[in-house]
Amino acid sequence: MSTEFEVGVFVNSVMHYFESAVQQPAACGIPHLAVRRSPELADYTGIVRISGQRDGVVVFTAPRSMLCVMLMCMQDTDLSHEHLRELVGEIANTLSGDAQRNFRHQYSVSVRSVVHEGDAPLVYPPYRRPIVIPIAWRSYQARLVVCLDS
Amino acid sequence: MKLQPHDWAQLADIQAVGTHRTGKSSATVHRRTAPPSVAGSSGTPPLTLARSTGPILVVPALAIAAGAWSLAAGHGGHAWGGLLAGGAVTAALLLPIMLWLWQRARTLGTEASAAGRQQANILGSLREGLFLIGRDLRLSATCSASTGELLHLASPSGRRLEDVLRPLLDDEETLAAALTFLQLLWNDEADEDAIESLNPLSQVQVSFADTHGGSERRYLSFAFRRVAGDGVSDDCILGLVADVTDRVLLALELEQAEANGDSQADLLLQLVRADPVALVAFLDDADTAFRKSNAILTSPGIGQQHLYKRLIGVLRELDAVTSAAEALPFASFAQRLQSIDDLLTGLSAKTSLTGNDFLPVVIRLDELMSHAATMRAIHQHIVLLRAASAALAALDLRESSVDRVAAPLELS
Repeated sequence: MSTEFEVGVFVNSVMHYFESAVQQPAACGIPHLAVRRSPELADYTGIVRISGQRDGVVVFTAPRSMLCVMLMCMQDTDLSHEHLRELVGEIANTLSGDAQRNFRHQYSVSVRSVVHEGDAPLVYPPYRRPIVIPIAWRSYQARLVVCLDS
Repeated sequence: MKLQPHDWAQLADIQAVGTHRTGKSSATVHRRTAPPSVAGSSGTPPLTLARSTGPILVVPALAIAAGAWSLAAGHGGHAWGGLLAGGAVTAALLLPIMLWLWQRARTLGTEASAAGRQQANILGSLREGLFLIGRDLRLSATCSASTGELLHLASPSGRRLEDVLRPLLDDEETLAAALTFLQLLWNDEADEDAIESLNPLSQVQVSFADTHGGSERRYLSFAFRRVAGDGVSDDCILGLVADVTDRVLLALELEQAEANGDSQADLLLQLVRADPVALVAFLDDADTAFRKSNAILTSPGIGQQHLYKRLIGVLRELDAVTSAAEALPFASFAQRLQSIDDLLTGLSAKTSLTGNDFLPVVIRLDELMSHAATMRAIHQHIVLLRAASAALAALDLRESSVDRVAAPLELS
């Protein structure tokens, strides 16, 4: 299965989450490579670890302000730290579910985890350049990072 | 797999040269009874039972009538009394036969219901989708439970095959070829074995819509076989469908691995023959160009003007590397650059761009960077090996000169 198809599945998964759960579509920015340095992570980060024929991580990272507005759009008034973590975890869960459905014959997808700014740094597969896909929503910007070894 | 023009010519040939149905045994469609587990519906066994016991029951009835008539004829004037007595005697004689026949009918009935249960079990537990297609190209009521699962249909029975296949197949051409193939399979004159090799659905990529608005790609393999029943109306096409996604993906990976192995060997030869100074200069220039291209993509802005500006920027950066790669004998590098160049040229012709359009560009850029890194690593190994072999040669030369000096001294 081509990398293009695999990354496309994750991008569509995030886009569909914004359309269905938040009821406001997001726009996919121009993807680029994180060369010689790890991609910057925002306030809240959901991580999906992949193992099997390909090892790697898929990361959704978003600033606190964006997540708060997303919750408000979902008619949720609880903007606590735990609730923001849950929201990012839900997006990671969506990514994980779509990966399991599309690539179940190729690799296994671990349970998602959520990290907050200041937690232990994220470790990417060695000698790989993560693909960073900016996700623009209203005036905010999140990032989807896909890093799979070959 | 699609039918090629020469396949269509073959189809025409088959139609023209088709052998007669009752003629050659191996090449034509035979009128044979389908196996009970496949073609037999729940109504078939009782019908068979009626057929088998019906003629047998007529014989004793006629025997009773004949016996009664002969006894009546013997009694003369007491015709009615004799008829009754004769009937009673004959009936008493034939009672064991009647009881045996009744027992036999019960046994057959039990066997028939057992066969029905077995058929249901087989159809329920088959991993492959099994279905029957009528002359009107509709799926019959008999189909395995997996058929619905594999085709993502709640109830495939009774549907037109065209309606079943249309949402799955990407193009109308394959669908049309499949329908033509099935119509050809119905042709009594056609050579079934020859047609089988032209099945356009023997391995086909399908896409199923998922609940998230996306689509799931799978590979299905369909096989069709004409089955002749007792009568023309019982004829059907037996269809089998299986999910072969794992097998196809494994084959693709194997193919890719073999291609990569070949290209690595070619690359090694090219690097051994290359001028080291020119090679290092080229790799440095390429690395700079790739980093600049990535930096262009990283800059903010998603308006159409920004997107086109970046597209042109990346195209310009890579153009210089493409020219240099063509000058050097690196086919694998030039091929990858050409691929990304074609992609960028295609995007620049589009009237509207989105960020998603750049995803293949970034993935190919990553591949190029990986390829350049591999070339550099191999080159460094070659340089080290050359240095080591030069050092060994120098050592050998030194030892031999020492030996030449030491030999006369030992003699003296």
